[in-house]
Amino acid sequence: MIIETQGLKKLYRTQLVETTALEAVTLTIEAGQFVSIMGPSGCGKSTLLHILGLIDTPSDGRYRFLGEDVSRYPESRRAAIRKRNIGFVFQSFNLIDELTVYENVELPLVYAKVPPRERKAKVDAVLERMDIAHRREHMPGQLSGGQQQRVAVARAVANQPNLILADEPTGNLDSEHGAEVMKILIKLHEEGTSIVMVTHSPENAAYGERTIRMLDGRILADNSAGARS
Amino acid sequence: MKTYLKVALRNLGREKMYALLNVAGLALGIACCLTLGLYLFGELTYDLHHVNRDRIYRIANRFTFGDGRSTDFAITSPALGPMLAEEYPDYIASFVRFRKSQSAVLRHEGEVAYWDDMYVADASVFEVFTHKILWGDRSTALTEPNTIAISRRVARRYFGDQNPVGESLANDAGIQMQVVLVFDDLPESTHLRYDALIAYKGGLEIPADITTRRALLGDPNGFTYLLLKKSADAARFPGMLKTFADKNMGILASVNAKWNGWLEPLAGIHLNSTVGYDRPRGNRFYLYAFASVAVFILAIACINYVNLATARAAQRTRAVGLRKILGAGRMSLIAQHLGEAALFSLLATVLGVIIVEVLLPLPGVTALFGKPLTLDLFGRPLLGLGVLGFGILVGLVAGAYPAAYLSSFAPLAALVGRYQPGGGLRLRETLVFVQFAISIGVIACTLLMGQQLRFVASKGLGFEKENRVLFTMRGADLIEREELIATELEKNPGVQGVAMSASIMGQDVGILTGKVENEEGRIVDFGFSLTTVGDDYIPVMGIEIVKGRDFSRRLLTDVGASYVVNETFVRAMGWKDPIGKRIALGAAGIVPGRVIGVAKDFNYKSLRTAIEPLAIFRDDADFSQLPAVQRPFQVRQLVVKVAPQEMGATLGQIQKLFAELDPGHPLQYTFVDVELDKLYTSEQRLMKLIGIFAAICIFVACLGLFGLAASNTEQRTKEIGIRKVLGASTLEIILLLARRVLVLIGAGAVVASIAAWIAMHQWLAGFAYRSALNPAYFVLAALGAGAVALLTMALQSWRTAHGDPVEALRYE
Repeated sequence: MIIETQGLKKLYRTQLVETTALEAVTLTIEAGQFVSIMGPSGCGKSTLLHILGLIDTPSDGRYRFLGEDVSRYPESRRAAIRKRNIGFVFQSFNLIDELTVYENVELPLVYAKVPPRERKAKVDAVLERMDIAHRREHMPGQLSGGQQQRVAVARAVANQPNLILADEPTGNLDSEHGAEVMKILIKLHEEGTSIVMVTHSPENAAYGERTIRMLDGRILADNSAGARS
Repeated sequence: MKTYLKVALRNLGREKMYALLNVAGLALGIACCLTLGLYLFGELTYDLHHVNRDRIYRIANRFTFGDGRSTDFAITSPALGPMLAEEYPDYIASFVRFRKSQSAVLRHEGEVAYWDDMYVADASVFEVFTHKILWGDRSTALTEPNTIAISRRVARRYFGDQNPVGESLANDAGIQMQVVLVFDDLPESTHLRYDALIAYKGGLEIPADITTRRALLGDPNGFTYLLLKKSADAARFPGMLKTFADKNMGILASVNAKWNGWLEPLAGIHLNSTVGYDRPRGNRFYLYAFASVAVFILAIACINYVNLATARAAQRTRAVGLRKILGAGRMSLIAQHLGEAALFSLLATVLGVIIVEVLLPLPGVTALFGKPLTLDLFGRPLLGLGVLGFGILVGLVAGAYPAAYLSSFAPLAALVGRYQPGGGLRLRETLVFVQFAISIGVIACTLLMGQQLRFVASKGLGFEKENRVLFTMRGADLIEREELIATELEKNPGVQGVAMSASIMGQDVGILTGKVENEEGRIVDFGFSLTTVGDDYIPVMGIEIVKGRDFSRRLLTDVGASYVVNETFVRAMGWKDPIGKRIALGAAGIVPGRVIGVAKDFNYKSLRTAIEPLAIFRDDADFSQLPAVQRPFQVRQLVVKVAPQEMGATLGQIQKLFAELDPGHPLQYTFVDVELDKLYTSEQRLMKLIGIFAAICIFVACLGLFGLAASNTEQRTKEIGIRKVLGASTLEIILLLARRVLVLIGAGAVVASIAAWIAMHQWLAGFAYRSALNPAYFVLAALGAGAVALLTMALQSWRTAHGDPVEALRYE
């Protein structure tokens, strides 16, 4: 089991209002699963993804990641777990504009203190795999959306994480490029990587072996019978 | 590390304006610091080249009179050094006396030149002080009469690059002096400069008998330096000097006067000494002022960096958030941003060094500082490393807060834009407040200094200083022909008056003791200043006689028996009717005479000091009793009042006349107003420099404001669009954007005014005559800074404020 949550709750407070983003979310995800999360805007799916990715903390409830209760970990400990185990793919790619393709992909390896030689081999390999090696010296601004997302995926997998969290990975792409990215995710899953993907698209959700539907911060349905096309 | 550098360079290239503003500001700040640092270094390292510096002291002394008034002298009696050395052999290793040479020129085979810095000195000078000897033997130099040691400069003037030892130079009296030693030109940073030293041995030697020596103790005429023994404790000297005075200077008690002496450490003389009759000195207050201004400018530039970096944070947060999500620790982000700041600062340092290297050799800059400054980083690699280190340090200081701030964002908040672009706003506002408080303070100080110096320049001095030319007459032969010269000169229609004087207006005039008749008719001891003048001096200088009369050529009794006193003299003596009161000089009451007139008070000294009781004595210029050898050394000033429109032609004619009458001396002349202006050279320099640096302060502050306004406008583009749609005018928008800054500048002005008032109040305390601190200048400084700031911000926000609102809305 890679992820296990119990009664996860997330509240956003301002001086005047309190908004509940997540309400008692209980969920387990096995290693190697491809889980899609669907739901309308504001249903809490991104919040859930952020908590699962250890870039946000729950207001209440428990979260065990790889068997370790991380719900109350401070940022520094969460960062340490994150850089060893989790890769992120965002809807808006979130590449660092002032770094080249190569440097963007290299970054998680730098922070994970992978030695330079090994780093270079890994980056080269992953760029080849994502079919983006010929653009290695380009800046993100010089690439198409599809290429940028391929770089983002390359960066997410460069350090061979146990878990990839993808937040609307095809949301900013046309159908052709979207399909390309989905193919890559499927391949990764086939190789054994766990994937949790938030999406609006039923077609993309269908790629997962399990679809979780959310509404108003709660899990509405958890369909483990999702079939792949 | 390499990646960080690459990223920093890319950022620099991407945000060119931001980079330019930062680098330009820091470069200016660093250039100012380097320049002022060089100047300060020069001022603070005076006389440190002397190996014995820790053991060398100058004797300073004070004569105090019965009424409590006193004069402090840097010069002492020529008997003091030898007598102290004999009295305290366990403490004093050696002494050196320097007495201004009576001869102003040196001649060699038709070559004649004036040397201002020529002294008669003891042979021990080369043992006590450190010189680089080029030719000659330091152990025997100046041990024989009529020998002279000269600087490289002097040697080159007369002998080219040949070794001149053994050659001879003649003084004004035609006495041949053998060159025995050539020393390298003294460094800039020495308080006692000399180009030639003449052997003390010979005519000026102090007689051995104690009575004559004691009599000489009340007659200061040169500097005395002591080299103490290693075991000697300088702190004991005031007490020892008191014992010495009690034993040897009893004569002072008879005129109700007191003497006390103390030691001034050599290295401290330039900045710490306050005594009169000294060579030009430095001023500690001005060094503090320069150092503060240098720090201020650098602080303003660093503040720019902090403000721009935090204001541009919005552009950086996403990258920071991403890096954190990808596993960056806070320390690595801090290191990244600090590195970027250090890179900026290093670039600025290089640019600053280039600015300094280009500017320093310019004659205008040398004139501004009053001496040449050189950086020469390649010749001084240690300094070069120091400057680089300084540059990095500046970067780290400037970058510390932005690095801490930028690395503090929670990763998710930074990524999804929940970060508040207004974050750090209060800090930025505080810093803008500090920048403008500093700028306004410095500007206000400049304006107030200007006011005082204009006040000094225009203050009625009680005499007329314009259009008075001063000619130096050298030698009794020439001086004795004064009447003939005056008659010749007065034939010239441009000449409106001619008079002779033994002194120059503005020079130090000490207090001497005398015997004066009081209101009750008794003779009392009284200390006053004395100036000796020739016929017509009072009318030629435009001094007003308020009672009695001026000296008259027709009354023979006026010569040597009459005094004109000033109003302060009359007040101090409490005389109701001063005319006819008796005055005599010295403890012995020599040159007795009577008061014939009272002159309206005039400022014969610098306006730093108040007017003292002054007696004017008619100079008879009678050299009949003078030994022949002394005749060539007599000096008088000839004051010629010239009609301003005739100045050029008249000067030419006078020059011709002197060339005929005194072919042996190249003509030397100056103007009374020029000599008086020289009294305030250091103040003029301070004002000019502070003025220039005030302009740099406000410029650098505005660089920052420009960048800040850019980022502010950018962040509020949507708001501006909406306001414009709702009907706001361009001016209203600009004021909206500038309002807070203007309020900050207003608050800064208040604080700055208080600080400037305190500083200027202290500065003005150095003047006996001072202008009132005009509050209008504080307002002017604030309004000026406000206007420049508003203009800067308007320039930046004009495009957005003036543009089509739809554009602004679309931008969002």
